[in-house]
Amino acid sequence: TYNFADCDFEKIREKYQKVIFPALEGYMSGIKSTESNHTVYCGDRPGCLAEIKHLTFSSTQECPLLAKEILTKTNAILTHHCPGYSGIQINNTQAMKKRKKREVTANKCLTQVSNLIELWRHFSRFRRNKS
Amino acid sequence: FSDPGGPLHLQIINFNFETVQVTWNASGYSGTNLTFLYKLRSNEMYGQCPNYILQQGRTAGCLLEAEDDGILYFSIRNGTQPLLTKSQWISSYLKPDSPKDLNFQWHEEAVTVTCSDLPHNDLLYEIQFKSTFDTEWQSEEGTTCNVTIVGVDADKCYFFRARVKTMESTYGSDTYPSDWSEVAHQQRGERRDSCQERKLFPRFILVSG
Repeated sequence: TYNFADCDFEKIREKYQKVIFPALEGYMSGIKSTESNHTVYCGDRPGCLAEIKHLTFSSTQECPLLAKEILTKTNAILTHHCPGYSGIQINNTQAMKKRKKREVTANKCLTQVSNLIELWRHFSRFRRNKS
Repeated sequence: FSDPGGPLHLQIINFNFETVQVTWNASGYSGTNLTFLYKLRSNEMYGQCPNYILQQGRTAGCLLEAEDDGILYFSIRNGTQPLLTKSQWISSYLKPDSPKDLNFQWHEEAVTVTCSDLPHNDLLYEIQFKSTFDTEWQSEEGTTCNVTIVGVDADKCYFFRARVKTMESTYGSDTYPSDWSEVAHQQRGERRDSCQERKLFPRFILVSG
């Protein structure tokens, strides 16, 4: 597994604010993340990025695949700002098939996206000297 | 948060990551002492609230030491029956400390207001100001407590106050702005104890015989 310790955290933080947060917030369509339980924790910046990668690209019965926009943007940012990280192969046909299924389960991904927002938020709150 | 046994209106406030206050309004359980169990890590056991807040002799809240920026797992129970069990990042309910010791640097028709930054990322520092000629406060904001306000007339006497808000992308939308700082008064580049509010008397008084 890739160790995210050498990533450019400040650049990733900036990209989260500008690119990822609007996409995640749009997905929640007005539902507050405090309306669901927060169950996923991360203890430092590399750990947060590892959890974020896992939660973004993991597939569950309930939530087969997150919106392609979230997948591609997260993949691009991690690949760009984490030396040696090769990213995840997002297979178009796989995404298309699962997106058809996802129409039904869109709201089933809300808890996953809510936890994802909280992980990104926690990542953003780490002070520069406290990695 | 609502529960089959009746609404349990909950409020959580994280006072500057120092203490967390959880209060509930259990109108459906009046006369009952509800218990608050909590833990700060998922692998720990639930513990009893160390510091209950009482109202008319009944438990109405719990005050906790906030160890770190983490998840609060809690359960509010009526006897052994859980009424509400939740887990929330305490940062979602942050109320920052209010700014202290505002400093002022006057230059050509502008003033820079500074104060010490709080040790948390992604806060917004709001400075409000008005002169004795103004009825409404005006606002300027900055991501650090170093905000320059232009177009001020140093001869006038000004009121200044400041508060801290959080950025939604980093804290969510359930946080609280800090309380306002004390009001500071400034005129001709110097601190004043107060500014005399201008009573709007008519300039000309018509005296008719």
